[in-house]
Amino acid sequence: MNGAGAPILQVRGLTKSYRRPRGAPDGVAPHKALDDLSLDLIEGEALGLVGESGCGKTTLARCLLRLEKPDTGKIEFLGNDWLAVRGRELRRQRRHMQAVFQDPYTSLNPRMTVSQIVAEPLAIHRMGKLSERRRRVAELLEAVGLERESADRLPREFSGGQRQRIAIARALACRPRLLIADEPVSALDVSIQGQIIALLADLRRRLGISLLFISHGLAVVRMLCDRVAVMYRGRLVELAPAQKLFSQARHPYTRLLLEAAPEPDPSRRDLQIGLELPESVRGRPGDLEQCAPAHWVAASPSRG
Amino acid sequence: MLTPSQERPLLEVENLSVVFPTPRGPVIAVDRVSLRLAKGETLGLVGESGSGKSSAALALLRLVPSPGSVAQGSIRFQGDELMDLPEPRLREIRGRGIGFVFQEPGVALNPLMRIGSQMAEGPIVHLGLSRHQGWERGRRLLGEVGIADPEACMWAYPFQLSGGMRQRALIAMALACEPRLLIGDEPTSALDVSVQAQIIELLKRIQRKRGLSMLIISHDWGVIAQLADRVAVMYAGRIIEEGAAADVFQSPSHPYTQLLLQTVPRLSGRDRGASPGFLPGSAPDLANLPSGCAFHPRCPESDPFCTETAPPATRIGSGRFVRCLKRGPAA
Repeated sequence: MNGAGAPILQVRGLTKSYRRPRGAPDGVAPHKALDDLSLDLIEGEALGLVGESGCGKTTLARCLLRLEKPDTGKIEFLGNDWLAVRGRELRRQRRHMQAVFQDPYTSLNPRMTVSQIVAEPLAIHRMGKLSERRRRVAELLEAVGLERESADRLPREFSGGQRQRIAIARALACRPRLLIADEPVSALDVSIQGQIIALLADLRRRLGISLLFISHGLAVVRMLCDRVAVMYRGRLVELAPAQKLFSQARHPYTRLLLEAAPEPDPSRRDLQIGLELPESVRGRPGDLEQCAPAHWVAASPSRG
Repeated sequence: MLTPSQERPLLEVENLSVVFPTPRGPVIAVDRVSLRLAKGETLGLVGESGSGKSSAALALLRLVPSPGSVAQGSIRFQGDELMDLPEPRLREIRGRGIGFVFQEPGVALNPLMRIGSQMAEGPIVHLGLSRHQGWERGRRLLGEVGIADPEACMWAYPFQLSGGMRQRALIAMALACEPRLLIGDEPTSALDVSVQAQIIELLKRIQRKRGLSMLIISHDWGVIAQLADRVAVMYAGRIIEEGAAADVFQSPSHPYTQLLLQTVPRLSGRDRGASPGFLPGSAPDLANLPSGCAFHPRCPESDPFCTETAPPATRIGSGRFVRCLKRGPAA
């Protein structure tokens, strides 16, 4: 669907709905978190996935990680029918797809030392002897910019940014082919955000790992990603190379996100911005159509 | 834009310090902070977590949570010295003089009370309005902050509203007793960008219409740029730089401000790949502050002098101050 390079991940027609909340009136329809969504991730690329809360971006990540079962659709990962992989085989395959989550305060076991945390994937996948694992942990800690002495300490002794480094080291431990990062910097201070973005960019260059970077902030995505997909109501509304998306956004929703983001520049503060999405595009977005090379945009909402 | 008038500032804070006792010794969360806010002016207080900006805001209302306390300083609001006022008078000022909008609209509202009852509470208690009048005023204010169906919103419970609606309701509530000063502590940080932009527009519009003064506290330089006339940057409890927003954003002086502004992700300018600025290290431990200038371990310009001497505030232009030994006074 997107030209250059072989896809490492292909998503086709993925749909996931959550039933209406208990006690909600009968008229309330089940919430479609993912609605017939298709997407390719090219080997080695950093794909940014942006959208506002409730657009389904985290649901997509959870379906890809097999933490959530989609209703319908297909996922092909490393050439395999990913949704058909089960049991022991799924466990084995999981090492190729690892994740970093938003909150470094809840995603690390507070009772495990840093070296136990980082070595856990190696133990689960029975990779290497104990001495080799120890060496690998030291190597990983260095790669993410933590001191070797950190290995014997507990997560609570570290700041948010350092914890996120630990989470990244853990995710990289068994040399995955794809890293899914769900809002990995949203909980961090600005100065620390910059450090983590720089670290991810550096690791990607050095390891050639593919990255799905999920964020509600377009500016952060711009610093890291080759291509950007914009999500709205469980569907993609625009997909383009990063440079193109930021200079020539086509979809009204993308433009809204770009205009609404407050820029750190007081000279732009009296610019009038359009804050409402035009009525014509508020419905369910149509399918993606190619509007320029490598640039895809959703058709106007389908009626009915 | 309103020009700040030459008369006496609405709010004058001198040498305010807030201390929290901890097992590891006292932590000075706010260290001799002085601020001035003119009528109709918006001051942006910006800093990273732990820099003391929220403690400073709470101290202005004399609401520092125990066991913390205001160790010293003076807070003059409309001529009253808040440090000397008894609790009942303070409560009156918190209700009528100063409106406060908190970060988490989900937490700041009472989940068991209808929006309407919460809207009417302030005016009934502080302005002596009847229930009916309080309700009427609440409905009018909800309309003013852009809620499409104010009556329905008055009858709703907080969980029935979206995050953006709750934040609008909180702003309406903060305005209910016609305060002269609105303090917003990360007023938009929990919201999506499109809703955030709407709230920013709303705050600007209300300020223009009512001639309100605002103190906006945020870690988000984008939000500060959109709202503030003047900016004060906090680091480790101290204000390390202050000036007109246009000056601070265009030509930041303190190395911390400079590096941070280079690090902030932007949508335009500076392309990916062009090496962004980089701020090494992390915020200092307040119980164990570095000697001299608290920023010196992370500062690319520091020299041995910086490790010994705490930098004084140096005037570097009209209304501009910086706390850095490497920055000379204005010529």
